[in-house]
Amino acid sequence: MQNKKIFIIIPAFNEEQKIFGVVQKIFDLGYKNIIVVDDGSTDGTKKILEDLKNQGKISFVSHFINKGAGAATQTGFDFALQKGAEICVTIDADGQHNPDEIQKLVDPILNGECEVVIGSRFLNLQKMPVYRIIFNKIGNLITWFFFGLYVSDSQSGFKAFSKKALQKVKIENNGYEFCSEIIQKIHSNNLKFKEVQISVKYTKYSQSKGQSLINGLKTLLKLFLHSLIK
Amino acid sequence: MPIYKIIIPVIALIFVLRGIFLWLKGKKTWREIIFWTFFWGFFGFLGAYPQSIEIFAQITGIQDSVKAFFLLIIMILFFIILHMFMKIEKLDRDLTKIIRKFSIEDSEKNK
Repeated sequence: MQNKKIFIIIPAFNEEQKIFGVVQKIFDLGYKNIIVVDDGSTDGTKKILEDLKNQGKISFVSHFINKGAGAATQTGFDFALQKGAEICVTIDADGQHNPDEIQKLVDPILNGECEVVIGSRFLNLQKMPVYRIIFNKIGNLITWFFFGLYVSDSQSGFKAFSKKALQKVKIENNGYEFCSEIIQKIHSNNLKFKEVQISVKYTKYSQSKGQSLINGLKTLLKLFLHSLIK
Repeated sequence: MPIYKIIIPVIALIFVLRGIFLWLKGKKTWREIIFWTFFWGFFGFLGAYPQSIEIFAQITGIQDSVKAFFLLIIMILFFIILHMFMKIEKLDRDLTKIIRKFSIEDSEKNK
């Protein structure tokens, strides 16, 4: 497919309903370096991943307890770098992202335009739940406030990183606040980034897996406290 | 002059200066500095002029000395919670590093 070693990272927590389909679609597109990080799932996710691994479709790393999306993503990065990754793409396990668009995220890095590509759901108006738009706008403003960089979709889980970016962006936050942390590290390390429009599929399932209001408030509180103690 | 009228504003001032120092080192944004300056300035002002929370006193019926005592207790509790938060965060991150190390090693072994 490409000369560069592209790794797809999928952090997963209790995704038995969707993970097989997501992995299969990515595999069928020709991406052979797929890493799934099972973040201490308590449903049948791990069993599905073991089957996929036995079929040679994925590598997987399993946290023995749930540590959060940020922790799982960094585990995926570390594992990928260990395996010689030159570009890493993160994609959600709940099926909300379209794997066909992976190439859209990878191309700007392959062309040398930037080090990080953020898949943005907000570069074009599309059918999205209003509360999601509001949450995201608030998240963007808070991210800008604390970290000095405004992006249209700071909470996107669909991103691509060059090897250079991966070596500089080391995620320290375990929870969802890692999305804002990545923006901070792009800014503080002067990494060139680009936003690329992506489509998103909102289903009842993906909405139930996303950030709730309580999670959002917890993330906000953590960002405030981190700002105070840093 | 009661000692708390000096201690509380001094503590608040230390935090404001610390914030400015971190800003100069590029670790905080100017927006954060404005926010935290107002935050600590509010506490410092209340410490120096506890009578300014007369509205609060009118609502709750708390008198002057009790009012100051409450303010001090709130600040102390805030620092304790902050300290605990820092400790828990560090422990949590250390735990994550251990889990990550074992998980990756385990995955390599079971290739």
